[in-house]
Amino acid sequence: MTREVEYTSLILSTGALFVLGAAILGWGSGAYALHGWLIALVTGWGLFWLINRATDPEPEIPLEYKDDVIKWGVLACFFWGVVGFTVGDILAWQLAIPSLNGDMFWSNFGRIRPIHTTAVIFGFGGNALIATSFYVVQRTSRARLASETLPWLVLGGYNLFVVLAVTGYPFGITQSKEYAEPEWYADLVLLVTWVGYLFLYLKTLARRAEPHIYVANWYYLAFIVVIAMLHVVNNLAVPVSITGPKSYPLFAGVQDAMTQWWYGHNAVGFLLTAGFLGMMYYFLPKAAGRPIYSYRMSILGFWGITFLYLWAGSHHLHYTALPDWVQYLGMTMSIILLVPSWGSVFNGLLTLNGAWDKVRTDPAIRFMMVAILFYGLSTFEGSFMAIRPVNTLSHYTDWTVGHVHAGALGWVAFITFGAMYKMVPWVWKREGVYSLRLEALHFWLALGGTLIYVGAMWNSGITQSLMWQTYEPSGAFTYAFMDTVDAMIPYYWMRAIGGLLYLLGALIGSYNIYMTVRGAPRPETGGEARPLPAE
Amino acid sequence: MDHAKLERNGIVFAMAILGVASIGGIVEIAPLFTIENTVEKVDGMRPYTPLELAGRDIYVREGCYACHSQMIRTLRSDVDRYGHYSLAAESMYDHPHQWGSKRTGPDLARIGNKYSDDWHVAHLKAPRDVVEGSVMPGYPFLSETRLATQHLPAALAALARAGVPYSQTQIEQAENDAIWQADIDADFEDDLIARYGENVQIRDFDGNPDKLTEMDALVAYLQMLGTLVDFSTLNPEEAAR
Amino acid sequence: MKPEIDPVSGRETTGHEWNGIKELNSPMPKAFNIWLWASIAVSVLMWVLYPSFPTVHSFLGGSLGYSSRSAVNEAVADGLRTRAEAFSVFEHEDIAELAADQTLRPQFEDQIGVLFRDNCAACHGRDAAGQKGFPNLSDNHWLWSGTPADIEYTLQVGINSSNEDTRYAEMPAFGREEMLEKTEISDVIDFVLSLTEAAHDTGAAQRGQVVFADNCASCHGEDAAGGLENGAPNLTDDTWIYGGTRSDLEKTLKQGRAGVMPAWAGRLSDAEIRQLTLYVLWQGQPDGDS
Repeated sequence: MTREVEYTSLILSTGALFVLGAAILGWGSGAYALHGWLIALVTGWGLFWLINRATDPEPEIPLEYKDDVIKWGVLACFFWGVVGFTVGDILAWQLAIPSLNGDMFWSNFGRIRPIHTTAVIFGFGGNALIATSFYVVQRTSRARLASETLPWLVLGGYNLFVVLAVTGYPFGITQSKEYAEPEWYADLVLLVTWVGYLFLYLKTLARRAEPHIYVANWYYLAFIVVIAMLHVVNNLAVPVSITGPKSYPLFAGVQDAMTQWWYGHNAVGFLLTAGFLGMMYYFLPKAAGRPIYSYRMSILGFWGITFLYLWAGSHHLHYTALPDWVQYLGMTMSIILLVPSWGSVFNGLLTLNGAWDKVRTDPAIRFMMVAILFYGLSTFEGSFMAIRPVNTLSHYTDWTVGHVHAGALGWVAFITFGAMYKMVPWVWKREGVYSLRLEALHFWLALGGTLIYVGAMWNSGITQSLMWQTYEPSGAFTYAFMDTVDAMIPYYWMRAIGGLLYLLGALIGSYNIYMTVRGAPRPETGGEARPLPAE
Repeated sequence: MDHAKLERNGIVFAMAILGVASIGGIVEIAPLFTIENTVEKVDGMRPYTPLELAGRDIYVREGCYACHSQMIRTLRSDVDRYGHYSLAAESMYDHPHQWGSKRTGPDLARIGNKYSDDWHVAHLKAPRDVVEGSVMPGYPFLSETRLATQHLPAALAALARAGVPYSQTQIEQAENDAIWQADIDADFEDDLIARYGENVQIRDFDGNPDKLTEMDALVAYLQMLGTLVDFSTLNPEEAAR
Repeated sequence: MKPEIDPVSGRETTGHEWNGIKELNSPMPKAFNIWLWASIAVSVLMWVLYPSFPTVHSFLGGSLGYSSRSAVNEAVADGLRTRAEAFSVFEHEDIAELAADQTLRPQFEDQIGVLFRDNCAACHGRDAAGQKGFPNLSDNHWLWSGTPADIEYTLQVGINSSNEDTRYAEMPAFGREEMLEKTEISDVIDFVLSLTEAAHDTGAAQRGQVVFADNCASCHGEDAAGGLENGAPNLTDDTWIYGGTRSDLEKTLKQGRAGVMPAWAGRLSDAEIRQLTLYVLWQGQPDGDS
């Protein structure tokens, strides 16, 4: 593709978003109009930058990896992580001490919760994936990112989406579809960005000097492709008018519920699982200096997950008004899904064969190893909870919350921290992390916090569901609903304390990363890995 | 090995991922639109009145789904506590569905007419004062916020485009209908009933007849939840699916 | 690149390398293959037994003929039978006789308490002592008589409810509807306050007595002791639903009151309503800690 075509299409798509922003700021009011301004300003600036670059003479592209954009992705990841963990712990305290809701329109649990989920899933997790995917695809392809401009637009557009999402919720701008709360205009911003991301990724892969595409890239690619599909289908909606943010999803009732959990479960499957498995498949063998245990296991794991995960969403709707046949399909596929999931677990753990001593000495490897253990735990738990009778104990209770956090805190964030502690010194060309002791402290705080959190939620969830279902021999209920709320309070306190430890660890981690970035550069040895020259 | 070929071409690999990943959704979602008994045939369901819809939009805006389900499952303990298991038909006009995924508070699928309007108003304003042990946030601002109605015709029109059978008159009259449903002195009861049927609750919901507030709308919505379907028209054999 | 032997594991690599990362060509562990096929076999068995794959207009129903909805209907019916047996005494229709039966309270109070907390406590409180706007059920002050039969009937049809047989009582909005002058309202409040010997202006109370006789006595009675047949509260007993301060009373007179008690017939069974009737009565009786 020529430079002209590239710039024309980038300018056209950024311009389309600019027009969207201008229309919103012109017709809208309140927070929605502010969002219009935000979109227009960011895309307007992007347009200006693009046109400027397009009219400049073609710059010399250096024969090295394009890492500047990755640095900003790392910073965005830590920024959103701290925001998301903080808001999450505030929510935990709101449940323990309800007066902390403040009872103001913007401060209540219902409006703040999506800030937490969006900031951690899309802000922290998404930026971690974009940053590491840019890093990994270049190294494993021995090629520089296929565009000088597009990576910035992808990272910028993506973070624009996250900002639009989390600033909209306090003002009541939400579809109330779990993990797909942002309204249609933010969805459009993400869609345009995502197409760019996919294009950039494929084009960089096409430039690769290695004949085969490495398994980490299979996962990153699956993450990008499947999230695109899910995002489009689940967010089909009819906007009420350009004057307001409100829209109504195209599907209703049972069809909407199934579509939503097909989406919701696979946001877990392809953002929080596939993407981070991609991360594991690069940073673990690289840090351990060991080969991947089994290429065949990689194949089974990858295609098993890619095929089966999409069937499993209906296990979120057991015993509901969703027809039984969908529930049984979801349950059985979830049971089979455990096999490829644990395939990845074994492939990860056995990769450490010959390097187990490093688990003791290198906190980053310890982060990654524990991440894999938590991945194994939560995938087992997930398949277990998908079994219908078990689901009667977990659904609608804190067990689900505990399960999600075993995965999110224990797997997603641990593998991210492990990878970041490796990648940051590599990208910024530092000797190493600022402080290994702080890194270890972060590890122990995070592990302690996660165990307290998950333990509390297991207990509260199973306690509550058992209380709901307990009958006297006479056939009367033993407990009223209120009694089960009373029983939750001690666990809410434990959870809030566990979350606080986790947040504390993340703050220490952020400081450690910040000091690493500020530290002195490593002297150039001349032996840095570089892309191969294009043919 | 064949897989090696796949590993050599990014675009083919991406297409393969898309193909393999789309099967589950196609098999599980598409038939929900074509298998007839997915949404049960029962009497009583009607689209939301404009006031109820405005209330539902507030329910959606506040993220009530984060703590309340609207789905009575086919479990004995759900049915004994909350009433008849929920039908798919009961949420057939719900864009989006609000079945929920967590019950920090109780299920609301049949909360309609269980408590008085006064209770809902007092409770929404200060839940922890009204219910001992509650962990629910308060929504005092709902009583003070005038309900926006001017967008309601466009809202009904948007829903009509998404398949809700609103008539042209219902769309045109949406704003008036919302105002009239909460106005005890308005003499348009017959108009409302002509448009939405007998099963419409018409009264001042928030205890303040001088002002149409968001509280009126939300309480009107809550008070109709689970009250529409005539379960005597449900054929248990056809419903067993 | 050619496959090579990894010195640690002794296994062969695939021969590829990405920025120093290699992969071994280890075969799938046998246990994994067994596990995979076992999972698939279990699933296929489930697909045969239970509802599974769809066609365009139907789906495989499964050989067991299972349906969640039929199953829950049976489970609920079983539960109903168990309850009907355990609570069979409440099938007896004479509530007065049930109320006279001293053996019921120790046996059933705790269990009925759960029903009360799930349905009634939201308004009347866990201890049935009520709160502003919602009457105290444990103080033996009644709006519609405290006989077991009347309480049962109130539970059935409600007060100002959507039930067609509902009890109906409304305190008019004397202020908003301009039925009384501001001074008259103020005077009648002094009179009402005087009934319970709360702080009041004696002169105003005397004027208010005339206003009361003309406007209020028809419901609340000449002696202001209320009327159990029309649900008008007793104003002399210092028990207030909406509060007894001057500002509370002002509000009541200005905007009127028409408290709603929902009808429970339909939501609860007749036997459950009888249980709750007795529970309410018990809360106003001594030895509450049985």
